[in-house]
Amino acid sequence: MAKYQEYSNGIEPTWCKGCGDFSVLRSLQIALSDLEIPNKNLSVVSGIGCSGRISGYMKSYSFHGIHGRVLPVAQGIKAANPKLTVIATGGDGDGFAIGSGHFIHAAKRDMDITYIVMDNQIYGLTKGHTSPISEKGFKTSSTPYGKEDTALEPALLALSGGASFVAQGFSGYQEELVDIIKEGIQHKGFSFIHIYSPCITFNKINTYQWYRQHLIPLKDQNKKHDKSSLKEAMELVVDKEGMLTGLIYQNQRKSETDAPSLVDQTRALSKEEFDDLFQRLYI
Amino acid sequence: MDKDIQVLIGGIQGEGVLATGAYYLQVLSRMGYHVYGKRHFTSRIKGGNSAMVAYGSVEKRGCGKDQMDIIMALDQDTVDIYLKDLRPGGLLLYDNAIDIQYNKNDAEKNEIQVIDLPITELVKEYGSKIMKNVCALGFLSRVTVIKPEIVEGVVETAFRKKGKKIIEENKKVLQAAVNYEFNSLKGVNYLLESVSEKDRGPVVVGNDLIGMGAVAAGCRFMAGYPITPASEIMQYLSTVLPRFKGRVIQTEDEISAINMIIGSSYAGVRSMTATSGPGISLMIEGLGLSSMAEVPIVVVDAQRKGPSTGLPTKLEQSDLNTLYYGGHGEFPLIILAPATFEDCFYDTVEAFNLADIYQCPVIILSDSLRSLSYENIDSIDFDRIRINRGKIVQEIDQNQNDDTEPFKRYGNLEDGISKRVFPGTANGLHHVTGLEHDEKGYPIGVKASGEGLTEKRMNKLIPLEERDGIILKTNEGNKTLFLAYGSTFSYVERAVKNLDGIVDYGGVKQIKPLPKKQLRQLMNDYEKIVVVENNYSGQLRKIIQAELGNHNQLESLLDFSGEGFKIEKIESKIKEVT
Repeated sequence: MAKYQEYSNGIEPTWCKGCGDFSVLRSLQIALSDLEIPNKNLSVVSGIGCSGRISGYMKSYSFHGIHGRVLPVAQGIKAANPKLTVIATGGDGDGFAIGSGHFIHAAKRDMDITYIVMDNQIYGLTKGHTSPISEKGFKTSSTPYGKEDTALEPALLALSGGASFVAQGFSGYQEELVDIIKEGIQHKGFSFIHIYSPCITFNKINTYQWYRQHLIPLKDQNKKHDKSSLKEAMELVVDKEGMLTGLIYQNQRKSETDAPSLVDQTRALSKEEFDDLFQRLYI
Repeated sequence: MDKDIQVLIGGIQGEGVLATGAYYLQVLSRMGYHVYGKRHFTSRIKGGNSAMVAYGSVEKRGCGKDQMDIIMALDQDTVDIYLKDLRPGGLLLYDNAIDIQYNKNDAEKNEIQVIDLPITELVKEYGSKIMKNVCALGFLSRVTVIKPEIVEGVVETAFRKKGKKIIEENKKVLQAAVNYEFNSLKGVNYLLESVSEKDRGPVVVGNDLIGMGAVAAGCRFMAGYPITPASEIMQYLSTVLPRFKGRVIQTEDEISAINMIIGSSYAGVRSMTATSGPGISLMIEGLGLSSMAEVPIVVVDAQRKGPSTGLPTKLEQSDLNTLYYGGHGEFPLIILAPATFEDCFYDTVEAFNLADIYQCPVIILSDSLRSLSYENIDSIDFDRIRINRGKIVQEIDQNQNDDTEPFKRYGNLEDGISKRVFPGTANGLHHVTGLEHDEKGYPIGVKASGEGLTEKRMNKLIPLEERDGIILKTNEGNKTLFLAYGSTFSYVERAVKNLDGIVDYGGVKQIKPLPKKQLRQLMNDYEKIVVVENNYSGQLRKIIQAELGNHNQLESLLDFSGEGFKIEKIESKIKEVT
């Protein structure tokens, strides 16, 4: 048994054959295995959608919540027990449509969690509706005459929201993906990993081939940008219209690992503590 | 007769009338009185009229009375709005810096005494503008002949964190008011003597006690979004929890708040949120997740007048239907309703215990009067605090479960209550989902039936139907029972006592599951049951009828003015049905 399989619960994913999410699942498992994160200290949280099923395939403390709310749940878990490695996962609809409000605030709050979004630029589980990341003019069952508005740029949202780690990956580039996920997990703060993960069933435009043609791996660029510069990171995303893979921005701001576990603090008060609390009620 | 006094202090919002009222209540508390304070305010920071009704009585009441003995007006609005509530022969005091207008004929007819006070003048002379509230307190104490040292003591305590200089300045203003010589005060006698040597304790609002109850229950995480009339709970916990290594997060919205506490509670820490109607509407989906995933949470709903934004600062008890029936699908949930001020503390502790024992959401159903009214509390029984965390597995032996198979988090279909294990525990890995799932937490897919699992969840609360969830006050031979919940209970109590207990009355403290056994008994024991609530449609009455029938035996007494019941209205109903 390969080491990464220690992070698999053996359940066969319900994803379509060839779905990009298989690669994300494998990359996550390899990253965790390379970092030797104990299964018992691993909490994988997911939202609703095809990609949301990912938590159900992990050998971990897995939590599959409701649509769009993966980040509040993940932050709650981390706040309660900072010793846990918390991985929040979901799709582009979950994260950038219904859950977009939570996204920028989670970035701003900068808790030490890793947020992996599997972006296929379409709603797969509802059988092919438009997503906030679908391009303008994109035809789906809910936009039969073409999508009216432009695509949202998740990396810019994350950067302006205050995320301290922003990276992008592609299901077709598994090696890079593993590295990015490892860096994201090791980063102390909110790590946003935006992964282009093709839907082979409903998105006939943004295919593996299309991504290979359009994506620019940062590691292959001759001119390296300053990863700690928010300005350069933003310029890069704007210039390349988000079609990048690799680490875009990292700003190590703080360490949260030393925060106390609130779980251990859930206890009865002593009489002295209680009396003190009562005295403090006086105006 | 119970010796009591009720004063209304009104002025422009932001001028400190609330503080005057609160200090005055604290003064009365030090003299041994039971106190009650009710705020009248609007949704703005400065400007508009704000008033506080301060009530003190020898007997514990939990509410005030309909009419005022004294009105202290710091603006014209106070006279315009509240003079009608002054009892005949009552006293109208006002700041003579404003040219008060009122109907002199009416005042004369009602034998109302009117006295002008140099509040603004004294403040200008002895202190600064912000001390108007202390000056008003001084005059109020003067008129009610309270010993100056008691008032000084309260001011000292209130300003203890602001330093000696501020205390001295305020005392100077206070003394100026107390020593002010004027003729018109002669003949005014509202003598209040200390009725007990014992201080009757701090004056706080119900929300403070809910917050303190949470800390005592071991709650160490709160996520919330500000809203009237629930914010004080977040404020209290924000101040106190860090001292106990706990944490409060003000979230981006109520949806985030409820999902965050689901996450934190799943990870093992007792967690809560607090909101009002609009927030409850946003949290409903989260309640379903908490119930489906069997993750305990405590949610306070301090109800206010709806629908939509409604009248945010006014009273209503109209969220009950939403909470009793609300949400898509069917799921178990517990609703507790603190009937008295003290209940705010004890019921909160119980809410956390029930949530952990039954692994479902528990709602503390408060309302704007239960949450925001002031009362004094002389003690809380430390020995009554019990923490029961239910079925938690701290350690799992490797022989029992070695993680080749997930821990059966949703095992035990017999009483429906499964064992919980927190992330971080060895050999306890499992899956949690809002999808219908099997014992291991995995989605059951299309082949399996969800019937048994629905029953597992729904049936686990059945034992609570047998509990006595209604507190009863009875007299031999009465054939009519008045039932109320939340702040309305104290109003019913007052009305019944005013009429020498000619009906029995009770407070419904556990609304869901409805205490069916006890209710069936009550339906046998009484010819008529009147359910008193602050809403338009008689929600609690209809719930009782839907669950238990007996349609002709129950009737409603309703108020949805937003101001709460007048005692007189309840008295009329009592007279009508007896």
